[in-house]
Amino acid sequence: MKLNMDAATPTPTAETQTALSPWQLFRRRLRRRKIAMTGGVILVFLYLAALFAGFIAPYDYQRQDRARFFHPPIWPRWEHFRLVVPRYEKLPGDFVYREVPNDTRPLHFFIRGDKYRLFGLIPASLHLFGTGDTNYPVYLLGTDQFGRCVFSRLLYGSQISLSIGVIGILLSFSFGMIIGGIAGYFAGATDTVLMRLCELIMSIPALYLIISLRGTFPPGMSSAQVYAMIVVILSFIGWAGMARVIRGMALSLREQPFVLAARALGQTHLKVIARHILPNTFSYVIVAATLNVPYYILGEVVLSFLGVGIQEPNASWGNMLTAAQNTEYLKNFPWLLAPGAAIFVTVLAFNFLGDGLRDAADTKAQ
Amino acid sequence: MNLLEIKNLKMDFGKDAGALRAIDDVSLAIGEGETVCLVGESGCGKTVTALSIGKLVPTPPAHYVDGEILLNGRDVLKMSSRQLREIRGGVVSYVFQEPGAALNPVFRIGNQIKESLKLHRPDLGAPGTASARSGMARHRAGAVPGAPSRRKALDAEVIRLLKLVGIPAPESRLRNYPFEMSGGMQQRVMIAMALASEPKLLVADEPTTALDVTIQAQILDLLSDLKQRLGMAILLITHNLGIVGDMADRVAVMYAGQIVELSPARELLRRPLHPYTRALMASVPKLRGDADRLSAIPGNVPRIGNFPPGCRFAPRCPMAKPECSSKNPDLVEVETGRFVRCPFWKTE
Repeated sequence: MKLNMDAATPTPTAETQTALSPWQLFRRRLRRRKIAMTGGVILVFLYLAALFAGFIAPYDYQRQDRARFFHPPIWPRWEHFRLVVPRYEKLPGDFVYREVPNDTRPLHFFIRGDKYRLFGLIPASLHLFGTGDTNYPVYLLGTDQFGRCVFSRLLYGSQISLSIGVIGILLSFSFGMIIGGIAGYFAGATDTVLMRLCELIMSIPALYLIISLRGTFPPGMSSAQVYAMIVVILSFIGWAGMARVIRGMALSLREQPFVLAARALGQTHLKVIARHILPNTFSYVIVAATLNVPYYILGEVVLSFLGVGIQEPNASWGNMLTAAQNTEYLKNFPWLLAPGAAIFVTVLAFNFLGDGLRDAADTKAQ
Repeated sequence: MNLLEIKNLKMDFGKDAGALRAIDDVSLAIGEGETVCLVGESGCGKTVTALSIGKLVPTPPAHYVDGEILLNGRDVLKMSSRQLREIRGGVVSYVFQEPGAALNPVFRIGNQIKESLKLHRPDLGAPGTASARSGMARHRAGAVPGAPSRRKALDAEVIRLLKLVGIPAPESRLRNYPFEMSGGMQQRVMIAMALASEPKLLVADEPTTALDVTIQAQILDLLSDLKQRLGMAILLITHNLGIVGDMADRVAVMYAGQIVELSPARELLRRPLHPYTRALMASVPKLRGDADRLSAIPGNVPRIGNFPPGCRFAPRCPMAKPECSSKNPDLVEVETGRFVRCPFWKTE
């Protein structure tokens, strides 16, 4: 294996002489998987975009343009060596717009516009691009039924949709790992009780559980509360599967001599689990987490789509898709499907990355 | 008072009707700074006896029926889990058979040794401790100038320990993962971990079985050297009688959960009394000699729960007499310091 690797990547001898740590080997194998790396790069861009959503988005997610409902996408174009934005005028009839020839405004970068809070904290009004003139808007992905910029809402929505996956995974996986670790390490009656509990949760169809759990929360919650609720609900459903797998691994790890050695040093049970059992499951956990993030993103989409998730006017990919339910809308205003495309790309990127991570972590698959 | 005194220990696996007696009436004492070898075939209860000192045999399935294990005069079997954690490492440390498996593969070895230090040496570089103490720690760690942070003190102590067990270039080695080291080096790390907590008793459970012969000798030399320098007692478990002569002050020979002979090492090697000990010694291959076949003890150690009535060794014993299979003899002191569980020990 070592020889193959050296032949494939002629690295300096200084590096190949010292043994590689498992982590270095893992990174090296991952770097050779182009699809996985592509997925990773896409995700980095998506998350950066979510982080700087207020800056990149030309408009506020709530801003309504009452003159332009269901406006088609407006793209800047090159004209006389600069980017310009054309003006559209409304024609009589239902949401029909036409470009006005020879009436453009130049597109500016780093321009003042709608106020927003960067990272939710720092007040700012600088935007990446815009025209600075409300009569010449830049709607890269058109507007929705309230005349709101779909592109801006997509960015603001990504803050919710993308972070829900990661936070949900963190919550459910840490809970699943603790429960699974305890069940597997102590075995016996503890194991039986905890695993029956997991099976109970897993035996209930997820969607019913989601909707009935949603029913236990009071209506009229703030968007932050709804967000927290969604994360809790999705994690509540997700931890059981993780706990079962970790429990299986812990059952085999507890028989390892290094566990006895740690006990012989006077280490407590809980620290043995935390320091010796769980770290040995990480290579699996990282892969599983990556492959599971999409389920949480889709879970939020389902909840919001059903109207029990993130509430208007806040944007999430799920509740933006709600607007695209109507087939009539879909036929005439296909840009409303943009959040669907965003979900598709994100889920695919996570799956590519997850597959690559799994292959890279599997030392036998060379 | 002896450092360790095991008195009439009886331990079962399982309970009630399904109980299988793994240790039957074992008594063994180890004085401060003494080296005792526990010898016997696989499955005779050596490891279980050794793990019992730290009460490390999981209960259930294990079940202590009778007897006591006095460590520094306190009964281990009656200790709370908190007291147990203090003596584990604090008084008795373990070195196991397979160093590769006894080290956690995902941690650098320096961190694994630090785990032991953090548990049992809170004085190391702790902020605000009396200067005398931290001064001592610094002195031991090879003098780190200035007020060392806890982290620095720990690092220095790890390096000192790695040096102590003879690992070259410890400064860079402490960042190694276990799989980057050879078996002998791994076992040295295990010993360093065991010594980190400054135990009074080191239990080495077949520490050289998984290593090749030249490394075996190095590890054994290291153990005797450390014993000289640190003055701790060692309980060395082995099935290799060759080791006994070099290391042990006294030897306990176990068979089928019982001690069959307990004797000063020198005398035991010169003149073994129990027929099992004699058979064991006869099966050690000799450098000189004309036997072209290795001599072996016929049969196997009886399975636990399936012990023959009477003397447990009788079915395999070359000098067994009819009465041997009716009554199990007691362990009797036949000469000063020599105990034998066989009435016919005088027979040549």
